Amino acid sequence: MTTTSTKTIPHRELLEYRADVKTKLFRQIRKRFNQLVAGQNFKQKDLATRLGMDEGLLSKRMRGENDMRLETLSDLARGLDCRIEVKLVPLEEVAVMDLRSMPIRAISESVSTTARPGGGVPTGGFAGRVTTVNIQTAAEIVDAD
Amino acid sequence: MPKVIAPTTRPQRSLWLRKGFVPWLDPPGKRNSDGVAETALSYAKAVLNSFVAGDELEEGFDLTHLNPRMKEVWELRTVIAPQLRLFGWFAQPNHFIVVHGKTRDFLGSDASRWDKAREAVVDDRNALFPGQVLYHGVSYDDYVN
Repeated sequence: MTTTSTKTIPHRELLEYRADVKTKLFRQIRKRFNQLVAGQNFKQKDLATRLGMDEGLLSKRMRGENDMRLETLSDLARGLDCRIEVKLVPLEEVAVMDLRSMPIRAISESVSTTARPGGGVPTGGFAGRVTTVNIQTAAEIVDAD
Repeated sequence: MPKVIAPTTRPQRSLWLRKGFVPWLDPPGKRNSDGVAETALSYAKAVLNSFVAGDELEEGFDLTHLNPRMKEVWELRTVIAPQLRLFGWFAQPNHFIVVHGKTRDFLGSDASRWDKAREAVVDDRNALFPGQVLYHGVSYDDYVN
């Protein structure tokens, strides 16, 4: 078993992990709900009835207009006849991606040479405009100045 | 060291952030310039990471092509309240550039605010990449897959 650091995890990082978990879970719930509705065997009011919940409130929840607590996510999953499986993956076992190996130049070149549907080649591109890499979101920051 | 954004997954899509957007998304304090709390911002980062990781994004819920479509402005939204809207465009399939963000509460049903949010993307795009041919797709899969 590897040693886990005792350094305090920044609060913001904890918030981001929470947000990541809730977002992924809620998306799966919506996907399952949409599948049932598409199968025409299920309506939102059916889910509301199953959960003993006001349909208007459920509608808000399904649109993400209320904050999602674990209790709510769990109830929704159960209402959709699903259970939630959780697996913890130690970070040291995860492949660390070298973001600097991301094909920035390849992206720049592909933007400048990709033909637009219907003809024409885009001019300009990102070459020379990318200044820094935002590690946290794996996003390139475009320098507009 | 680069941070891991998704276990055992290489980035599937590319994300670009307008330089001026970064302090809004990642303020030094607990709130950004619009008063959005870091909790809400953590959901914004979750959805951006989700985009890069290649997660399935529900058309019309996670990601919406704003009208008029020919302006090619899209909104990426956080799925859990307090909801945020991140505005940008697709430089090419699976390459999204975020220009700015607003809270759903601020935008409300005020058409002028939505228009302004959309036009801000158009203006920034023209300033960043003058003369660049805009990418146009036909279906949702032409933009993100």
